[in-house]
Amino acid sequence: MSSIAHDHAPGYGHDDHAHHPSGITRWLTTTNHKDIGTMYLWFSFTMFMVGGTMAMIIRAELFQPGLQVVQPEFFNSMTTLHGLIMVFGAIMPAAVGFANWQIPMMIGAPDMAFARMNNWSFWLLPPAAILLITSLFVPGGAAAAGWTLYPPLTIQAGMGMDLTIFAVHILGASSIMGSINIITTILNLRAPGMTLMKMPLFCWTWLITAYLLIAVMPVLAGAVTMLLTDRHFGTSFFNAAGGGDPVLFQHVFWFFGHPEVYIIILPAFGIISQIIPTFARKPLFGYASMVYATAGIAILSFIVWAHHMFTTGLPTAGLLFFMYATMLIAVPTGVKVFNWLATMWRGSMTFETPMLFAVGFLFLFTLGGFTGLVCAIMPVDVQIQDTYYIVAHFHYVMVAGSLFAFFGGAYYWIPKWSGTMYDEKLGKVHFWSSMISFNVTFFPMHFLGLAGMPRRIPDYAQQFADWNMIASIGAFWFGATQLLFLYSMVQCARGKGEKAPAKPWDGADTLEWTLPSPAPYHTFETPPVVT
Amino acid sequence: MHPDPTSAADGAARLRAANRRTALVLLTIALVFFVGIIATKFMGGPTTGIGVVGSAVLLYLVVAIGRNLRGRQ
Repeated sequence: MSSIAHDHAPGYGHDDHAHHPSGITRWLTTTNHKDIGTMYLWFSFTMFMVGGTMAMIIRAELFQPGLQVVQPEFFNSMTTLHGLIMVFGAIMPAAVGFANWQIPMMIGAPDMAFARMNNWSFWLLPPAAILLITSLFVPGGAAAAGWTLYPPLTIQAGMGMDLTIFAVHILGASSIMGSINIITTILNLRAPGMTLMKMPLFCWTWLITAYLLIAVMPVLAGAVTMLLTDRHFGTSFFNAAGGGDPVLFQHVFWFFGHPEVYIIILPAFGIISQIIPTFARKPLFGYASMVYATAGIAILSFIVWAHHMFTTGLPTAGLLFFMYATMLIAVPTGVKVFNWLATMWRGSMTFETPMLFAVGFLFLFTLGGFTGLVCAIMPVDVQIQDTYYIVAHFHYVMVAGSLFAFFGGAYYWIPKWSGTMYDEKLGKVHFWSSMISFNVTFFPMHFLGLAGMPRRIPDYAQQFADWNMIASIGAFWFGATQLLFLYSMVQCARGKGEKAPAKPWDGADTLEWTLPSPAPYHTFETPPVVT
Repeated sequence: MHPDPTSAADGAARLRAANRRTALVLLTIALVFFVGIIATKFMGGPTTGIGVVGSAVLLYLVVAIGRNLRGRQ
């Protein structure tokens, strides 16, 4: 990367003590991107624990055949809320948290373009989360039709479904506001000399992700609005009894839903693209091709939605188109994986915790991508649709993909955020325990799916018992392991540990590492000059 | 040497105006998608509707990224 000069150093030390309200008022009224980033990250971790608890309930029920722990209706609510909370409450806010903290510091901006709207974007999240969780306690229970909210079940469901629709609307509004903020910040607030093609790849992946969000979140909002009017205002968009078409909902939902997968994974790609060059002590291989591959993935994500619907009776031409279009995504994704490997090739690599998570991500995400390619083959997908093979596939992409990247990113940037180094030994234990328990949980699900075990069922045939028991043990292990991460981050937040230097990673070369650690409350009020 | 405060204020005002303009364009896109997806269901022809929306997305991305890349050069 090009060398960077800036003029912040004199006088920046005392900005740590910049005037701002203290206590709860600070967090309610803050317009500071770092405060808001912190709130996003803690919120997402809280929701990760809530969604994780629901996963534990699911795995406890599936520990052995028969109904032991919960009733089938509640089990269905758990699978639905687990999906909604993990996608909208944990993973997406975590990505926005990283964006809030890092984008202004990486492009040399003083803050986000719309600081007050940034505060509002965050504070919409807790009410939405409360709506989702309290839907468990209303008559009829929470939504139980799966996170995809397919009619006709969602048209017939009770009041919990209305709360879910309202929550999705609020979450969508929050995401759109966040995206507008991120795009405007990147396009208008870059420091002099920070051209688009000099931006760190994390900013590029977020720029493209934000465009995706602007395009598809309104589509989801439209879909659930139509669902709402079908439920309460006598329309028949998706209600077959009134001449509507339930399959139409699937088209609209997946027009949102597939780009959503890339909304979740692209920021993770960005984080990995920062970590690997740092610990390989080499510039990122093929920077421009990484940017174009990211854009290529985003564009292709709009033309593959019906691969989620191969069994709905699409015409043959449609099946073939969506099958080949889906396979095409392997090309830009392959470019990225190749470039990450090429960056590591003959690099002077060390394996601190962020790099371990990055390498773990590479290995497991590639595996998840490969099973995605298997699912893309239409005749195969007809066999494995709605089986545990699909559950295994998307958890390899979502958990080992996004979540591992976010863990890596948290370890990578926590010295900058908190001014304290994390406990390296604990971090490595966290990684290896997560890596092993993740595979113990989800790898057997491939076998279960191939053997024909359907997803979203609380009970199953005897022949699936052994692998389910192993998967449940792995899930409890994986869940407990995350307490190590919590402990590690809390210790850093409390300043318990070795003091972090301004640049703890000698291979790091982006703008945030030119700031002291912890990063001052206000940074780059005078824009740095990037050469 | 101190920067001219008037031109600094002008610069800040121009930046705010540019931010508002960018946000307005993006918000409009979001609204078009929201209203558009419901309107196409009213008008029928879901395949056409989705095709048009999909093409619009692709075209928009190409134009937006292209314009920015050119502008920065």
